[in-house]
Amino acid sequence: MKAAVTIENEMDFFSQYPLKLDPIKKDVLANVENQTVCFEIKSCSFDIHGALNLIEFLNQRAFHYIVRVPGKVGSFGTVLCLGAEEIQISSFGSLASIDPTFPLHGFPLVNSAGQPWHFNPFEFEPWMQNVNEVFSDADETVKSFVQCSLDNVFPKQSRKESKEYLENLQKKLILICNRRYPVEIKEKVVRFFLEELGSFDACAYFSQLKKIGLAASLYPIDVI
Amino acid sequence: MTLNCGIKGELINSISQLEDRLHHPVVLLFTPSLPDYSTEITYQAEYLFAKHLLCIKKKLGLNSELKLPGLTLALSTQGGNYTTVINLMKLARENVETINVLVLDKALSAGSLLALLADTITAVPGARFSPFSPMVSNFLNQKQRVIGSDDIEQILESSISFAEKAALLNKLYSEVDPIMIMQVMRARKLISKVLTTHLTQNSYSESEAERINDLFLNSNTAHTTLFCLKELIDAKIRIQECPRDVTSIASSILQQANAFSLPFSSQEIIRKYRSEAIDSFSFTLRSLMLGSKYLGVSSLSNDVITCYCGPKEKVNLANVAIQTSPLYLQEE
Repeated sequence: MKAAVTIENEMDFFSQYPLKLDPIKKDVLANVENQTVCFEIKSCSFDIHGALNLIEFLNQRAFHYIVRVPGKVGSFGTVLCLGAEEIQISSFGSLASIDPTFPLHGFPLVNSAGQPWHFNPFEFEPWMQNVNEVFSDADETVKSFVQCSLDNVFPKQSRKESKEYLENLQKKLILICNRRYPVEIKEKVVRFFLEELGSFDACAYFSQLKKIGLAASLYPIDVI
Repeated sequence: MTLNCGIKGELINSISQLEDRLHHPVVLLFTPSLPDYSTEITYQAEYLFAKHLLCIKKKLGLNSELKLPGLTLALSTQGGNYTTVINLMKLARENVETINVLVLDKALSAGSLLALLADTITAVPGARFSPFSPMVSNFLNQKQRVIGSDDIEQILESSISFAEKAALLNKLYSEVDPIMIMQVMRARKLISKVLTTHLTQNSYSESEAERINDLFLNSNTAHTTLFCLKELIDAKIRIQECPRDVTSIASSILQQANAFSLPFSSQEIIRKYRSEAIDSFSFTLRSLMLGSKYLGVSSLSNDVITCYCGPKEKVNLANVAIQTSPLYLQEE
């Protein structure tokens, strides 16, 4: 295999911007061998739509790819790893969660206390369920007051849009998962990164990735 | 500068001394809690910790993918970001077989969570711990500036009438950003799950794990409550008191780490201008420090420049110009 296509940039959680994909795609075409490309991710980018676009580009050409993760990567790296034939990760490497509240993920906005927030169904649904359970034995007047308060702070339309966006994203992520994974693993892995892992700054290391069924193997590194 | 190099050398010497005493590598994780300068664990701690772990493995001739048999994380912090703390322990698990947390003086809030996620905990006799229920700012209620997730839970679980409960909930929505309410409740569930899983895997029974969860997450005590070592031992948490010699080294590490993180307090800045013929001087503040004898000290730092041109006898903090740089990571 030719040299790895390195995706490298200096970003942290608070300095995110969409990745420029054209230079990466050119690098892919220059380094593909036997229809296989190797990526090395040294980026904390959270541009999941960039990753989906890149995977589509690879799939259209029937390219397979492996991903090397030497250190901490953002959700761009996570999404790319979902479709990889193999994930080579160091014991210091980690994949980030795909938290709907992260601005670059493009979830619908809602106005909350004067601030625009990306609405996360994994946050508002358990809360609403919990509140509804607590008031399940209350009389109709109280129930309707509670429901009205909830609708005021989390408008119905925003909830609907956010859930639809999530369902759509879930489907896309399951579709790009490597074809070798059984359907139940694809669903489990996607749910893990979207819901179980936690907020945008939460991450999963090698042991957790193996546990959820991803094709990950450890590789040695010299520098982080 | 010379002063700082001296303190840094002393700090590394003390960490080496601790390492010789414990017979395995030691990494210091320190955030200052001084009256003039107090900071918290932030996400950069994960990267700095990874650098130390890799360096330790290299120096000990271990391949990066193999685990160190043991490591002590010498801790002094008033808390910080919960997710970072959970990430730190995940990173440690990937690289170390047995993790010990040694509490140098305090492991408050997220620091307590960090300690509880270790395999073993040791602490100096006067060590302090605190509850770690995630909190949310409450700007509109002057009597209660922050609300803990346990307070929110209590509103839902209280035995008052449904109407009163609904009114309290409505008041909560008007005082606290509702998105924040959902976020802290989600964080609380996650912390509880991570802690319970770790404790039950670490040979605590389910009822013991539940009791520990109750003490730190569901406590009816105020969020500012401090727990001493005895209270933790009484709650059946497996924690050991340090022997006297380790306590003495811990005390030296703390003094040196404080001096290195804040080289000049506000009073010392005034004293310096009063006693020396200078009109400016600079120093570095270290808000988050990790140290080991293998990599030295790595930190999240700000450079500070101070300037005073008036008469010596009139110098006070209000007329000293102080400018700080943005935060940056450095290895020393």
